[in-house]
Amino acid sequence: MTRFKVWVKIATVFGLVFLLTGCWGNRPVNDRILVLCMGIDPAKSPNQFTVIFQSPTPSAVTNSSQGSSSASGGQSEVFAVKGTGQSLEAAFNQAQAKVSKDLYLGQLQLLVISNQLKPMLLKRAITSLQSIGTLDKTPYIVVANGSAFRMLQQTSPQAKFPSLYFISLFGCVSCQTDALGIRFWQYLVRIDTRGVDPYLPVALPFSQGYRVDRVALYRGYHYITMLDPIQTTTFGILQGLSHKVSVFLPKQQATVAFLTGPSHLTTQVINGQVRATFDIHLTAMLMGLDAHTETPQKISEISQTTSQIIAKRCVALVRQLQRQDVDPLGIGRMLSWQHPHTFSNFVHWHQEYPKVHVVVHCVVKITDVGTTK
Amino acid sequence: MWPFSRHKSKVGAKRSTRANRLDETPKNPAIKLMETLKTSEETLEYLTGVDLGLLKDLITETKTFSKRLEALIQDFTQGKSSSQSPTLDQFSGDVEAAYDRLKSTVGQSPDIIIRRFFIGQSHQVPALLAFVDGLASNEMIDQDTVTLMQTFKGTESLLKNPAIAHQIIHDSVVSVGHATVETKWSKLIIDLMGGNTIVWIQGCPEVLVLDTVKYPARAISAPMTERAVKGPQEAFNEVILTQMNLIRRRIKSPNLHFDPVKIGQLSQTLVVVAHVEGVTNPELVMAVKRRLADIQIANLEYSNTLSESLSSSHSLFPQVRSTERADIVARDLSMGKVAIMVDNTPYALTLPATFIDFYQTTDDYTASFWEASLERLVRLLGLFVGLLLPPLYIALSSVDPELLPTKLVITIAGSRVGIPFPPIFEVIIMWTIIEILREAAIRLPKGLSTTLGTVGAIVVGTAVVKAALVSDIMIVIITLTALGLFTSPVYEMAVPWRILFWFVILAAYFLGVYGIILSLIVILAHLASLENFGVPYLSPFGPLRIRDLKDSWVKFPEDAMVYRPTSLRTVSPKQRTHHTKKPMVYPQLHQAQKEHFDDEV
Repeated sequence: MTRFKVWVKIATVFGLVFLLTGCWGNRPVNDRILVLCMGIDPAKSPNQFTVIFQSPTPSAVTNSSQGSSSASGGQSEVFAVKGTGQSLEAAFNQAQAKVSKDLYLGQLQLLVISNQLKPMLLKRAITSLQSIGTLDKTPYIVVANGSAFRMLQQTSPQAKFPSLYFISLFGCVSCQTDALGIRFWQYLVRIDTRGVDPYLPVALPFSQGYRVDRVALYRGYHYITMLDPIQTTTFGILQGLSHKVSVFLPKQQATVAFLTGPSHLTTQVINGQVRATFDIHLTAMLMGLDAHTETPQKISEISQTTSQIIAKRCVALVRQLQRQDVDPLGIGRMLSWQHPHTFSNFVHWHQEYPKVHVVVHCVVKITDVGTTK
Repeated sequence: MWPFSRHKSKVGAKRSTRANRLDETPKNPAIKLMETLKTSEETLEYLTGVDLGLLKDLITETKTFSKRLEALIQDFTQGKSSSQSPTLDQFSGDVEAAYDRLKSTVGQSPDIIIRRFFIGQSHQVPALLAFVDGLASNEMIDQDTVTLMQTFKGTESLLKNPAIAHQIIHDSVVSVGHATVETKWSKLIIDLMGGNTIVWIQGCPEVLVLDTVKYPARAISAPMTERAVKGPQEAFNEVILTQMNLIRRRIKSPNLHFDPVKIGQLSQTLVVVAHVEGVTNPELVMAVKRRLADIQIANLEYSNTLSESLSSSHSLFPQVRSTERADIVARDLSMGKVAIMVDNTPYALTLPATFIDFYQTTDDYTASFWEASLERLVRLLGLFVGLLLPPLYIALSSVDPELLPTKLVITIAGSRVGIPFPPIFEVIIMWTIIEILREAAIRLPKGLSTTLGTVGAIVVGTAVVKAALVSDIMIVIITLTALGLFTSPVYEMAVPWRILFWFVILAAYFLGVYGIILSLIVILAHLASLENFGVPYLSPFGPLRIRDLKDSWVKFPEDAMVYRPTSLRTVSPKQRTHHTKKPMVYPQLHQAQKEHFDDEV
């Protein structure tokens, strides 16, 4: 009897182990359609959206394994399947009906959302995406100005597939002016955290590929605005994400380049008034100045001028953000960490946010004088 | 007339006065049966169409049986007439009876030489000599035994004191180095079969056993299965004496013991249990001997036959190390292990063996500790590559492709376009080819096997890819797997991994990466549960012995390995003194170097 019980226990454990795995989806990778990019566009019907599933073509896949660099006959190396529905699942089913293989989302690398997507639809899509088991929430997420489908149709000579282009771009911090790459889980964190609003990089297609030098600002699921390239670099400095930002000084006829450094945000509550201070410490390289005129005084003067310019730009940007009532810099979140009682007393942070007094301290230290790296 | 006739025997005077009790009993039943059979044969000869072969065989057998019975009876009655208590196993002192007995038993075999002769010339004492042709040295028998005994001049002493004749011959006549005395037939026959020369002397109940053993033996050659770059190039041969000599040369201490045991009712194989007294745990030695004593088999041909009896369970993993290298046996003995050598097998067993023992080689101890550590880590890496690469390929390309980098998954998908089989069948196809090539390479002559292996691998590998039966990535994976699984320096350890490989493959196929982890946990749990002679198989990792980790996957310098493995519970835990004495503390040890520098200055 005891032995019988032991065997029953062993069988139960093994049974549970096998049944609870959830790994029974055995299908070779070549029998799946690897969806590398997914785009979400508003559909014609106001309550629906269109989902674009983009995958490499079989010939592109074969060429890739054989080391061939381009598709034969100038054909496109990717194909897209569209599905429309009120939910992501409905759109997925419609798309699945159009192909003979399994639409596999486990290798999704890029999620493109249109800035024209209504908040309700965006929320529905994001909620559905979170519940896809094979999706590991690591794909990069970008915003398309207008149609996501149009953006996905654009190809770049630098990479075979759009997804590979963005993986290379966002995966390499020093390859960007500002490190703007946002992964899906980072976006979800910003959506779900009080006191901070999400921002997303914008990919603008042009004739030779994509341009990523702007960010789109959201208040929750509401699209608010898109920053221009100058404002985006300033935003990057405030976030400590800048890498190849440069400032031209017309008076000195010099360029201060490679502005890089951390930005520390602190909050204070003085007489009930919230005060946010950005301490920015940047290092930079001075270029374009005649070698004979380099003196410590002149370099110091240039440093101060640059610091003032950047500080001004930063203050202007923050004030604009306050006016638009969008907090992508996370001032509210920092307040909740540093002064939780004060923050918890605010019923709606967005009512208090425009009243925050913002100070920017910027110090630029020129470490090197020379040529462009 | 044969000089050994009972009527002519001088020493057999006692026998002539002996009461013949056999006459009182009915005729020997074997003789009676033989006579009946002969009559039947004569009758049957007249009949045609009857096969008489069987009947003739039966008559021959009966004749032999009759002779044997006669000899036994004679021995028995002779013993009875003497003062000794008669038993059939005891030699009676009657050479003629001994001759009959030998002739009717082992003497029928052509390789058994039985010779009757006289000791001395003036007063001749009958004697009998037997040996196995080919196992005994003819020179020793001719020059050191027969010649000397035939020319012996003091035979009067033999006649006067026949009971101590063996002592006189031993002390004054034969010049064979090693001679012993035996009285029992059961032991004499075994000694005879072992290559000894047996000398029976008329009237003397003690029999001389002369060590004239000279086996036809293979020369000591370089190890074939455990090659070393810098280590000694001596492997055991089939002769147990040579094996003992090779070990004795390495451990000259009198504490080295070789305890003989005979195993096998038919083979009577000599098995030697070697251990170092004062180092090896005596309980371990006793336990090994007890287990050996429990083995009841008819024939012991190979040392590996003992492995099963010396292992605690029927595990896939070897728990006894089999080695042909004398230096490894010597090292294991000095560590406190027990070695078992089996006659006619060039592989000795050392035990108890732990998992890490199978990944240690001679080269680890002849090279620097840096090199040894690197090589051991490479072996570990090889094990992981061999065991996990195809399962990971199956799991990641079929079950969990989301875990792969995008570029790699596209490459794999591209390489598999047009392949009709799932990855697991690719593995089965390729592994079958590898196993066939391996098996063929082992059986074929060396030159041919190399050619076949190379040609087979290239031709078959290229062909299966061109035929789109397997992907080109699979060729790379299986090649690495085949190489990785054989990085274990001991061949026995490669076998369990080759079998468990399929267990992990199936787990990966059904459950993906989760299945691989699950299967590895099962394997690890099994390894952790193994224990032989009280030594955990996974020691020093489980239970963790920090001190013993110095000679595990990473090897520390020799002077850091002060103690013997804790798990062996040796009598003397220390194997060397502490660290090398440093120049600053002991300047006198480095004086010469200092003077040399002073001279230069």
